[in-house]
Amino acid sequence: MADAVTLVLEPGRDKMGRPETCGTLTFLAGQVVAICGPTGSGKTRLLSDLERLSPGDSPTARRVVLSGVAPERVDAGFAVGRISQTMQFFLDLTVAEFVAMHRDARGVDGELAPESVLAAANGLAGEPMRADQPLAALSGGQARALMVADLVLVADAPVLLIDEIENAGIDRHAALEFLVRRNRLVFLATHDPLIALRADLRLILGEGGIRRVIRTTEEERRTAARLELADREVRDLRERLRRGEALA
Amino acid sequence: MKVAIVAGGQGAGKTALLLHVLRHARNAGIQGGVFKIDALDAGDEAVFQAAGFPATGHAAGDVCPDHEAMVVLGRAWDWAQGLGLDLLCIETAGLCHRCSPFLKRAFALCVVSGLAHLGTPEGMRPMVESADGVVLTKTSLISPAERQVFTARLRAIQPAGRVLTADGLTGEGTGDVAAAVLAARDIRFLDVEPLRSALPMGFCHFCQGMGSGHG
Repeated sequence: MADAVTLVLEPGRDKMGRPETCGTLTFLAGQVVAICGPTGSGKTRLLSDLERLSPGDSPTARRVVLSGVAPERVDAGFAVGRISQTMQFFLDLTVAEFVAMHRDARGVDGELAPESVLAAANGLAGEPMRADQPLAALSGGQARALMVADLVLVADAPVLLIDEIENAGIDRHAALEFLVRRNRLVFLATHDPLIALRADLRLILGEGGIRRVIRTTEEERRTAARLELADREVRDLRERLRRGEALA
Repeated sequence: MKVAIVAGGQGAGKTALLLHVLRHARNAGIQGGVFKIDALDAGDEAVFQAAGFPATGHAAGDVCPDHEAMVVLGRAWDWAQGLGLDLLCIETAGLCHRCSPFLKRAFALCVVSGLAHLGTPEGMRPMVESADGVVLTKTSLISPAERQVFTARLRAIQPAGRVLTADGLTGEGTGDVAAAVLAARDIRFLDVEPLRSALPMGFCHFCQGMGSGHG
C-alpha cells in the first residue's frame, strides 16, 4: 500500500444549493474521520462522493481528489472501499469461491488463502460461517463480517468508508480495531459517540452540507475513556442477560 | 446526428440509465430522443415522454428485437431527423444475446445488471466484446466487492476494458456514461450499415413459430 495517500475534498453545496463554507479539506493516511449529523443530513451522500472520487457531477457538486495511489488501482475501483449497514451479497458463490475470485480480480498472487479471510470474518461475526456456505445464505451480520475482512485483507483499499458500523450486526469494537490498522484513511458515518470520539476529527452535516469540522479535544478523549468503561459494563450485562444470569 | 445503440437483457436498467444520459445531454445543450424496440409493446416510451424527451416504440413481434432493430434502423433515423434531434438512442432488449445489434459507426453501449449471474458477461460475449462501452448497473444494490468481481469479469472480455458503473436509482456514474455517448462522432446518414459481429446462420422451427418438432 502506498503510504503517501492524500485525499482532498473541495466543498460543494447543500440541499438548498448554498455553498459549503468548510473550505478545502485535506485528509491523510492514518487519520480516522467521523461523519455525524441527523438522519437525512447527507452522511451517506458524502460517503458516495468519497467512494466515487466525485469529479463534481453529483448533486452536491463536491470534488474529491485522491493522490498517492497507483492509477491502475483507482481505475479498477480498488482505491476506496465501502461497507454500509444494510449491504447483502447477491452473487451465487460460496464464501471460499467469492474470496478466491475477488483476490484474483484484484490481481494479487495466490498467497492469500481464503481460510485466513474466513478466520478474520469469524472473529467479527456472532456465529461462525463455513467456507462452503453460499453467500446468499449468510445472515446479515455474517455477510458484513465477511465484507469487513474482505475489505481489509483482499481489497486492501487505502481509503475505507464505513456507514454506521454500530448497526451492522457485528462486533463493532473488534471491527473498528481491525479496520483502522495499517495506516489507512478511514471515514466512519456514525451516531455512536464512542465511535465518533475514536476519530481524530469529525465532520458535522446538516441539510446535505458540511456544517462544521471539529477536532477531537483532550477533554473529549477523557469523555471517551469514561464512555468506554460504561460501554464495557453494558456489554458485560448483555452477555449475562443472554446466559440467563441475574443482573444485580 | 449522434446515434447510440443501447442493448442488454430485459430489466438490466437500460431505460433508467438512458433517462439520466438524456438529462445530462440536455444540460449540455444536446436534444436527444429514444426509439425503443421491444418483443412486445411494453409502453416504456411513456417514461421518456413524461420526462420531456421525444420517444417512440416499435414491437418486434415474432422476431428478436435486436434483429428487428437493424431492420427498422432507417425508420428510427427518419423519425429522429424529422424532430431535428441531435442524439438518437436506439434501445433494444435482445432475446438470446448470441449476437449483438451494434453497427460499425454508431456508438455501442452494452448494459449489464449488477444483479445478474456471474456467468452473464460470458453468456453475452458478442455484445460485451463489440461494445464501445459496457455499463454495469444497479451498483447501489450490490457490495463493492461484488462490483469489483463483476467488473473484472467484464474487463476480461471487453478488449479495451471500457467498463463503467452506473446506478439508475441514484444517478451515480451516469455522468461518465453520458460523456462517453456525447463524445461519439456525428453520423450524416444511416442506411445500410455493417454489423460489428456476425449473426447466427439460421433459425430453428421454434423461432419460425412452427412449434416444437423433430428438428
